[in-house]
Amino acid sequence: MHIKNDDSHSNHTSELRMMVFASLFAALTAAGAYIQVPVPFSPVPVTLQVFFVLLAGSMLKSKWGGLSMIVYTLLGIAGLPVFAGGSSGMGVLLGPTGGYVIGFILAAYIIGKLSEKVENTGRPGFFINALNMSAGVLVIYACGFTQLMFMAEVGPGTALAFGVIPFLPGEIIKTAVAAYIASTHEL
Amino acid sequence: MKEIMQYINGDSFLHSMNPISKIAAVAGVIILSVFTTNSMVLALMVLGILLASLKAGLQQELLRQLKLLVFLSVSLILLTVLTMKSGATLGYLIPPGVFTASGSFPVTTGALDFGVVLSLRFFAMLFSFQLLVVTTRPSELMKALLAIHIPVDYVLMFVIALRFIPSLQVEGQRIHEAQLARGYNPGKGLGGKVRSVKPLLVPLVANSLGRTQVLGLTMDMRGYRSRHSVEKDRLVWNKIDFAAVGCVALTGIGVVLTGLI
Repeated sequence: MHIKNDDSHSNHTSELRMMVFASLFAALTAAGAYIQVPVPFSPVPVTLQVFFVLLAGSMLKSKWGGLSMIVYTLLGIAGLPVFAGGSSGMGVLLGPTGGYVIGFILAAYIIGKLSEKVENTGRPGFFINALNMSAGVLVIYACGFTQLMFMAEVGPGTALAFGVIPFLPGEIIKTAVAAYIASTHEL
Repeated sequence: MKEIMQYINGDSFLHSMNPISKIAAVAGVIILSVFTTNSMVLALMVLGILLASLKAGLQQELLRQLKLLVFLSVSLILLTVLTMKSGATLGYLIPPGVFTASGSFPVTTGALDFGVVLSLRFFAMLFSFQLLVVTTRPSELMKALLAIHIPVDYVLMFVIALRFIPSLQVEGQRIHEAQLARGYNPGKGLGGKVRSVKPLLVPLVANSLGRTQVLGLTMDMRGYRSRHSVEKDRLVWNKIDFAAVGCVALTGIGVVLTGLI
């Protein structure tokens, strides 16, 4: 079902619908932890969570995109195995890899803000979306990198080698697919 | 493929419990499991949860998560053994004389203990939360969350997200199988893996957006915004509720006391 040509509802995007969509993206991000794309040269599989974070930001905009990621984080804190690799709980959030989860909330908000700015001048195309999302990816990895460095007490070089570099090729592909979906589908 | 983490109709003692007390007990277990570092306490909690599920006849539901949990705990224990060094050395992963004279990767008691604590923590959290979801009707879960004065919008987002996760997993599986059935061959190697992402994701997102659209419209039509549809009838407490909350509270007090002494 393509929403693209369905203009009857898009001019009054009610709060209730945004709310339902926010919970959808929270669930998508959670399910994304299970869709793993194994990468041969890295021990850590690439999950599709970042992909849904990028989509949440650009489709739901700042307020609801950020809220959907907060709901996702709450699901994880409540004990549901929704963080990457099937882990859950407050301990993950405060642990070495918790920075990525916090980065999700910030990234969705920032991508939303950016695409709100762009939308004043017209509907953003593929490249504008991809640019916005790249900013979001940077935010996620900046947060993840910082927390990894402080919590695991490793130097910036090691943190970069284990927490950022192996994922970047995957992120480029995810950003491209996410930008494609965001520019062809509309809520 | 059966959907995980869904309400199962039944009349066990867990079903008849007050959802508020169940939430309180689960919250207690989660808080306790985060703060205690004693593997005995954690093992007791996991055992208690397992016994409760056995009594209610829901052990099958919990055991279905076992594969994921065993995998998770094995990788956690390996990780801590490789990175942590404390306590007495039990042996070496690579025995002495193979590569180096003294053996590499020592297995220490401190690291083993910490790894076991970490994995038992996940067992306790996941099992307790799953028992809560499996034995509580979604409408009752909502009532309980409303009764502890969480704003209705947030409760609704939480409950809807909870409902969406398993159906999205099933749908992802189905789309994957559908692509295989129509003979889609992304090719081998890294390039194939990358190419297989888009045919899975685009239908998944498009389908779920459409379904969510329908859900939003349905809620609008049923007059959700007037908020009279969520009736607030009282939830009753009975003996099992007090027993469950009491058990968790007692464990908590015990942990705090032994921590003080």
